[in-house]
Amino acid sequence: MKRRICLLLALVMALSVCAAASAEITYPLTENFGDKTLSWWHSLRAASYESSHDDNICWQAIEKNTGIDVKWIHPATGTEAEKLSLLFVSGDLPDIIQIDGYLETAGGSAAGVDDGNFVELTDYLMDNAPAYVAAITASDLAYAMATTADGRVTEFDQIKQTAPQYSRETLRVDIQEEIGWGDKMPVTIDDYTQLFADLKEHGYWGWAPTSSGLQTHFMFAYGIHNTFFLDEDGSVAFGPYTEAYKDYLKQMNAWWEAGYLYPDFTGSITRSALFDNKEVGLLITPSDISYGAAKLAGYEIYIVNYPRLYEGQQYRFETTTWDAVPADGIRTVVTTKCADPELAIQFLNYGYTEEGALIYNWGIEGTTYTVDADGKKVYTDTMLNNPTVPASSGQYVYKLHFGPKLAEPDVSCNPGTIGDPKALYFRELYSDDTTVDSTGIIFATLTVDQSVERAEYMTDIDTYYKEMALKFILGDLDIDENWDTYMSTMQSMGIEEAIAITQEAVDAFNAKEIPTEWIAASAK
Amino acid sequence: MATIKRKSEKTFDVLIYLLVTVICLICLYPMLYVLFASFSNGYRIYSHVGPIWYPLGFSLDGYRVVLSNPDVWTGYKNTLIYVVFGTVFSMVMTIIGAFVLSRRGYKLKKFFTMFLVLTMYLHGGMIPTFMVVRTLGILNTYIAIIIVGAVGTWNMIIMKTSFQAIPQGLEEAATIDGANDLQVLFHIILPTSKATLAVIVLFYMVGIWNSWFNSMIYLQDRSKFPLQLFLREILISASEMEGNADIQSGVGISYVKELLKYCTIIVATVPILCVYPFVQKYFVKGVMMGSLKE
Repeated sequence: MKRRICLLLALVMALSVCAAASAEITYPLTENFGDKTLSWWHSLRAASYESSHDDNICWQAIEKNTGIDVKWIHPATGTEAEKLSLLFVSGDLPDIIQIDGYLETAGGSAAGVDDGNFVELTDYLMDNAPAYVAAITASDLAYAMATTADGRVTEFDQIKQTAPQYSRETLRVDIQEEIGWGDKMPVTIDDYTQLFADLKEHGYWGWAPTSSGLQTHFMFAYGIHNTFFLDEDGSVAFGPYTEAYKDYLKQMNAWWEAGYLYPDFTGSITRSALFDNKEVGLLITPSDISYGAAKLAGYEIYIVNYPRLYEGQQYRFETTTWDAVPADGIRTVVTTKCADPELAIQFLNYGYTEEGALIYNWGIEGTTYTVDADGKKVYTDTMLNNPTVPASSGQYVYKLHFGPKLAEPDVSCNPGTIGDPKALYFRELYSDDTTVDSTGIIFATLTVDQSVERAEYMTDIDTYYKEMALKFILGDLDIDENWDTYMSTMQSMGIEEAIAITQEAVDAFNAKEIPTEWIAASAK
Repeated sequence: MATIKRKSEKTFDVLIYLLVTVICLICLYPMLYVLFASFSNGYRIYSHVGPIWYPLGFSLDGYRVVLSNPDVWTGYKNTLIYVVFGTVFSMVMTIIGAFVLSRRGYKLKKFFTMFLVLTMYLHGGMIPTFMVVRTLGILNTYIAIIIVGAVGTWNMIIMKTSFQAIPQGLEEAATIDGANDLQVLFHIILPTSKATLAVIVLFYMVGIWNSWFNSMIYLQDRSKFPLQLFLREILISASEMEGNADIQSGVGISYVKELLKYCTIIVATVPILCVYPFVQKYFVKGVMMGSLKE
């Protein structure tokens, strides 16, 4: 079975390379369609530095190359969700909507298709978006994630490889020296207990956990997630409804009682500032971010591999993936108000072609990047050392970090990561760890009915377990005494039903196969 | 004061002054914090925990970015339009309403008062109001922002009460001299209610200056957004920085965003703050006048 998939993958990849070269859509689209305008509802990611995409050199190039004049509609940042709801109320839908994470209705774009607001793309794709078909059929996982439970395509997703992992445990070199650890790294939970004890002895708090007290990196060591996950047999479980969760809570409670946790961790605090000010000794944050902060403040850091219960333990919850798959929350839809959906779909296909992806990922050659003698692309100072636009905003102004595109991974084209060799080094550190995999992560999405049904149970359950988690950790309730009541309350609130619903979705997800005609289409 | 005070009274005075000073400081401190922060070094503000009493470092980077942001100027222009036209329109409507309701012997007075007061308790709701505005065809226009919510019932009632407080004799004298209703309004009532008018003008001005919700709902064109909507945008994108950090760049963080929020608050509030001193003298007089019915 595995070999068959490998063969199929190799075939598909080989074919998709051909597809990119011989895509039948020719840009600009003016030849077939004439001069056309499309309206696109699109949030501004760097509103301080651009007031409309009309001024954005990348979008200008994309409009020019596709021959489409885009009429931009930009909601004010922070009001996207409300404005999107009002769009549906008013019925004045634009041709294309960047719904990203702003669509709040259960079921997402599939529900939008069912309600008659969005165009179902499935049947259009083969003829109008060959590059997108190639991108989502590149792997079984990509296909399963890009389609609904019943195999429909309802949106254009950004396709991206998110690995290597960015969120890591960070320690300060100066503090580690001071407490006598030197370059010794904590590996197991017991090591962390020792580390926190030594930190406390020297007057530092150990660490400020996330305000819910449910820090995934440490929960992963106990083989659980803070939400639904797949247990070792591949069946669905809910983290705060497992026996391992009890061990996790006990450990957190022990750390709390010993005075290792930052006392205000449940409040609104800036964890990175605590770390900068030498209040806490451990910070869990994206490694390149902590490196950037450390560089600015003038101290050195260590990046530590994930915590484990015992050395060599398999860590089943790597949340990033080496496959190019639909990246969470970057989603574009075509609405039913669009007079010419074929045109819109061909236009959106551009971001998945080689030429289009280059503009999205790198910007404009000569302005934002140059190609050196070895053919390697290098960002210019406009991107990396711009006195007026910091690179974090520059990647929305001088390139298009988010969008309907085939995205290159961060380690190849994120200016923040590749702009400094040390940042890149930290980002790639431990990425070759073979004891890390993503078998515990659920990639399946729920159908509209399933998500509505599950939400009915989960609203109350979420409130309850989060409240109880803090009570257990802060020692307001004794864990052993109250555990049975806690578990039976969770059960009576319907957690088993919610797990069963998720299991259904996972089974449907696993059963999906790429339709053969799609493979043929991407081979064209 | 020449009166001789007893010792206990003096201590009491001192206590009162102390208390008032403390309250003043508490009220003033958040503003000072923003002011100090806006001139500080972005990184030091970002990594600072606790109160600040003077700018941490000194930089004008935040102001440079804010003032070079074309949106801020668009916002200023639009806010001025909304404040000027909105205040004028609101005042005209409020005066007309208050004048009619303050007439003695007007038969429908009770009915209209009830009708207006009702709106203070019950609202049409966001979506229905939105549909009304849409059907009127004024969505995404300046008019929507000026008209929707132009009259504050509360303001109208204050004004009505103040109109009623004008001695009836004055109006009667004018009427006997042959003045019609409009002449009574313009020559008797308005000149004698200057204080109330000034206060209500200020209420409307500040209200419109600070409002962003209606603009958020009814406007789509960024070229029509008021300053507060852009301010909100900058504040939100700055506070989201940490959340978005994992996908944003690391080394490129310049912490200017941290400064931006403080600088934008200063840029957006100072002009309206300047209006207060000019209207302050009417304040005590004006609000008191309407409050007591004789």
